[in-house]
Amino acid sequence: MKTIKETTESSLDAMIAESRISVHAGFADRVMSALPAAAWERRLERRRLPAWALPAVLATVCAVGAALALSFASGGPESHALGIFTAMLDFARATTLAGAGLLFATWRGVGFGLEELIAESGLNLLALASAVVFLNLLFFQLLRRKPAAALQAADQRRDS
Amino acid sequence: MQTTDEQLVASILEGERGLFRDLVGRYQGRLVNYLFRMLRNEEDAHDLAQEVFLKIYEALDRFDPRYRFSTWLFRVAQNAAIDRIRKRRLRLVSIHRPSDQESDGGDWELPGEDPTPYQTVRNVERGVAIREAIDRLPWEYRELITLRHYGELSYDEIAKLKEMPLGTVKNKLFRGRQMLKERLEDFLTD
Repeated sequence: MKTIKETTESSLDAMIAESRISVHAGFADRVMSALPAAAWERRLERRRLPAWALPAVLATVCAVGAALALSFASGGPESHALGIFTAMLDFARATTLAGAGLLFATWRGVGFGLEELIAESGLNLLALASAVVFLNLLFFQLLRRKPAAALQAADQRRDS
Repeated sequence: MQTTDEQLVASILEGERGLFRDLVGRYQGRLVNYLFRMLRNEEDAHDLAQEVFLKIYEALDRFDPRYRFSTWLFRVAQNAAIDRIRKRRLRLVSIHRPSDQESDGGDWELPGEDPTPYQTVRNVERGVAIREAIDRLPWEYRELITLRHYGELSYDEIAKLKEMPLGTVKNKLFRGRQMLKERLEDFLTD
């Protein structure tokens, strides 16, 4: 037999249950038809290669390898294929050197510019120092803001 | 054995878009009821529930499977509801009078196949009474009662969602229910 307390508890639960509303018919259909193409879906599509892609890539690699081997065996080191290959290597090396040189020159240029600016007056030096401090503070502020995923992980660790 | 929410999410992320309907099916009633209690308007609750599901879908790849899906869903819903309430410039704390829209009791589901006129009136009265009783609870209790009884979240899920110790959640829910019982005394002793 139920006690008065239990009866009151179950009556309250019943009242709460009665006050629940029902979901409109077709609600799930409306949600499904309104689903956007999410960014992660687009990435998934890009990741998915057609079924024939892997065999085709393997066949091409094998064909190129065989052609190179044949060419090397028949014509020796001076063959056309090897010549093309070394030319491409030279090209890559030259591009890398040029890029590195340009980068170095840019930094040198910036360095000279700043040096000149600082040398002009103490005020410039002060302004530059303030700018550096403010930028550091800004970075510090941004670093302190933990992303949501990190917060969730922290919660999880604390709970377990 | 039923597939877990987290397994469903993993399958959806592998391209099984249609499985999102299962997640919607599992949570639509709880979410709509939770939002209805927060917003006090049935149409708004449905609109916002749809928005929440769409937001969740768009951000599904950011879901951490070590975390409960329900907790994540209700956290998003809670933030969305608070934003909506702010936009409507409604007060978040106790409201002592139901709005005009609510006062007709038409939003409430009535039990029974063919209730008599007396039962119908009584049911409407009960519906209005419980709404008023919950609305008059202090915000912290009202929020937990809503999450527990309309969002149907477990104590543990509420504790995680609200970042409160489990004992505090249980204690506040107990006190919230006590307050409800005191305010609904006439109806509960019928």
